[in-house]
Amino acid sequence: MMKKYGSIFVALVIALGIVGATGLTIYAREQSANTCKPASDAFCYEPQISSQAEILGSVAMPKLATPGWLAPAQPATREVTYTVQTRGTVTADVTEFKSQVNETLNSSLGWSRLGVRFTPVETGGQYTIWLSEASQVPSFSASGCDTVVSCTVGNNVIINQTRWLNGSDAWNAAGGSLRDYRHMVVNHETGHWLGHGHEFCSAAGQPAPVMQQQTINMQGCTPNPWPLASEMYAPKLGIRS
Amino acid sequence: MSEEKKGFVNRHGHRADMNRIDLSDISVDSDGAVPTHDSPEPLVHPKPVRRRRAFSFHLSKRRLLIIGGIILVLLLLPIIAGEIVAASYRSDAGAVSGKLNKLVSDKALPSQQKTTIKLGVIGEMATSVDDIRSSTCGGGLLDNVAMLYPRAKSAHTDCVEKNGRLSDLSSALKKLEAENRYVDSALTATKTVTAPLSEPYAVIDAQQTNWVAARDALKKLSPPTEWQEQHTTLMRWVSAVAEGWTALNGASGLQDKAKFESAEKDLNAAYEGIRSTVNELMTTLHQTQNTVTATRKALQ
Repeated sequence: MMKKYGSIFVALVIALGIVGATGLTIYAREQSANTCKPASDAFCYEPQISSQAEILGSVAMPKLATPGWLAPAQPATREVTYTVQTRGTVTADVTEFKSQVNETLNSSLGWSRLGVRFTPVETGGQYTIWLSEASQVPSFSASGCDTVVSCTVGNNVIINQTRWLNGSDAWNAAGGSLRDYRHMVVNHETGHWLGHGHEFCSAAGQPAPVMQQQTINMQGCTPNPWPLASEMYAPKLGIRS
Repeated sequence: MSEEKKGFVNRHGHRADMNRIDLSDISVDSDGAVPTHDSPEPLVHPKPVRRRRAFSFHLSKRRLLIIGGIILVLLLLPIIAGEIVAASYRSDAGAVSGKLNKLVSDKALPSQQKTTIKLGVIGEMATSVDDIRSSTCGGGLLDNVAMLYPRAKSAHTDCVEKNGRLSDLSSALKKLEAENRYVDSALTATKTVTAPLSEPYAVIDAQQTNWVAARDALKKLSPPTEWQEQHTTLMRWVSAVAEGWTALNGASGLQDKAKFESAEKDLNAAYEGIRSTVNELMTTLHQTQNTVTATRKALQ
């Protein structure tokens, strides 16, 4: 046994020696690459010019925010149940609401890319999606919700009926469609339930993160109803990015 | 017989008359022979014997010394002149090191200590080396004089050799200056695409606009002769990046996965092309610096 471990040790030492020697060789090559020393050699300008040229010589493809439509969907490995309810006077088509919510949640462009299947249940879902009359929205939380926008309070995802029917000024002005607004608002509020906070537009012209408050201000970004690849995590479900 | 008076006044103020006598009445034939001598027998003088006199040149000792001195000076003059010319060339050649060392310590070394190089500094060094070169080894008539005296000729040859090395150093510095100017211009042209992103992700639209602008700006550059080929290659890759971003933007608009991924692949290859070309430029730069260093060492 000792003999076996001894030979492994010797092999390890030799391997490390080779690595070390290689490292030294590379270092020596780098050293000899310097033609001159600016501190002592006359007319030694190569290091200065090289450092300038190196700026252009190190260009690389920058990081791109992967568009939602491009990110590969994960196979569904877990199920999340939800229930749909209404509050106040609801004039919107509730059947359509249910259908579109389900479509959004299970779209290959949405949170299902986390490997989650969202299943609607009549009662007792892990969270509830409310279609609420605008005036009733603050009833979920006087401090966290208002009559203008949608909000999430605990396991309650509240969709403001006025927004559901009309979209928002900021969204509409940026050229977003009502159908996409509905995708966005469901994804955004469900994102809060999954554990996300608010995000901000990374740069003008970029697709907005779905967790950006696109209902209020596009911040120069383009309307985007789907979570970006960079947003593909869910603390609530223990799914890390 | 008539007389005609003529005369003149001499320099002492006296008049001197000149008479012309008319002798036409006198006939030589009518008179008997006029005795030429009183003696009965004509005296016959012995014809004097011409003695050949020996050539003698009598010089005083003083004159002799003077003439000797003159001859000596005439003989020594070319030697003295030759030695003066030789000394002049030797002095010129000897002064080169001192002048170069002063240039290095006063201007070159301080300019090398900074992180970035000021544009034109290397060109100034080349001009200074040229100034040293033009004040070395006389030239013109002096060179012709030097050819007549071996020691001067040898000194002239050494000096001309040193002058040639100065010329080599100046040329290498000018080449380095041209390369520095190209790098500087290329960086200015690509400033928007080489600057670090202020945001975590790149904006496709902005990248496309910036790379197209960089390509157009690079097109206007005049590279040094030795970098012409690499410049053409660099232009090709920069154009490929600009086109890549355009393709990516198009694919993104169409939400075309295949085109998007293909454009991404092409873009990565084009970026690699730029890096590789700049590496080649730096190899040439390295060679130019080697020449500068070697020519400088040859002058020490």
